[in-house]
Amino acid sequence: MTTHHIVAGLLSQSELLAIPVLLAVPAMLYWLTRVLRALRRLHP
Amino acid sequence: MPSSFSPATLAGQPSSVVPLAGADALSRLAGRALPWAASAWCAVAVAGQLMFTAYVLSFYGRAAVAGQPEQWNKVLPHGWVPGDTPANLVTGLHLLFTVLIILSAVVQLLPVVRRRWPALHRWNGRFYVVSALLMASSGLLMITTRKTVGDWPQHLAIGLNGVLIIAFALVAWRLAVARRFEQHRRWALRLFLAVSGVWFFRIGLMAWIVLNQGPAGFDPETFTGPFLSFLGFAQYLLPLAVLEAYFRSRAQAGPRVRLAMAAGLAGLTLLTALGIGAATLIMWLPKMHGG
Repeated sequence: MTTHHIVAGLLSQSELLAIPVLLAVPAMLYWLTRVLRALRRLHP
Repeated sequence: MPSSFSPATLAGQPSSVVPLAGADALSRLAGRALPWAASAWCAVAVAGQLMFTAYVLSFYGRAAVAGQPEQWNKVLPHGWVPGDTPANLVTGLHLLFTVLIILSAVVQLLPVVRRRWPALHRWNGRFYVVSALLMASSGLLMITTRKTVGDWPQHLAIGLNGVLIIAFALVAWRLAVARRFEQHRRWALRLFLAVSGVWFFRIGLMAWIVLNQGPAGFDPETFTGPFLSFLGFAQYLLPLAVLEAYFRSRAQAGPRVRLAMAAGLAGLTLLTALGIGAATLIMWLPKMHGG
């Protein structure tokens, strides 16, 4: 069994689709908050 | 390795800054290793982006000049739809600005330009910001109006990338106008990484395929699967996270953390080079030779 088969097997679960989306939500909120804070500092 | 890409100068500090307190060998090593590691990554990334530019010009540009834009569909499904002039124009402009924005970024990254020709830096910066806004807007239009490859998580990821590009461009521009140059440089680097997201996607995918000796975690026929969903978001969120770690380690961390950051960047440089090499050999060169 090659690395390819192991990784393909691990990642074949469709439930895993939700993980990157769930991880991206806090990351996007973080960045949008940083943007808003930076813009607010420019226009106090 | 060109010292002109020194990240210390990119971030507004002279590259010769070395910790003064407890100036032992470890501190000196850390003081040199981190800027050098970042410079190495910058140099490799710029080379890889220029390679991507050559590919876009050679494949898409040549097809357009030859009057055969339908050739675009070999790589970009529904990139050219006969009769749909407005949408075709959007696609063409998106491709044209892909080339222009990369060339503009290379100029902006050169500290010598900021030092000797600040007016060029300012005008090129305005061009870069406008290009980024155009690229992001046209990309969002292409996703929403045309059937593009991938599934909804990938479309959501690239859409959010577009939103971040627009937001970062506005902040970087406003900070430059307000003459807050230290903060401006940081947001300009974030903008550069966000704009480079689609490039990161390509080299990330090719590195992944090479490391796994084949497609893994996705279906190459439908171009969907967990790994592609992950990469869709990671293409910009991961580089942005690394940049934040770099900023923090350079500004606040002790020598051991800075050395660890330098080692991490060196590893990422090798991974970037692997991705660029694989993308060049597997994706770009065959198409440049008329494949």
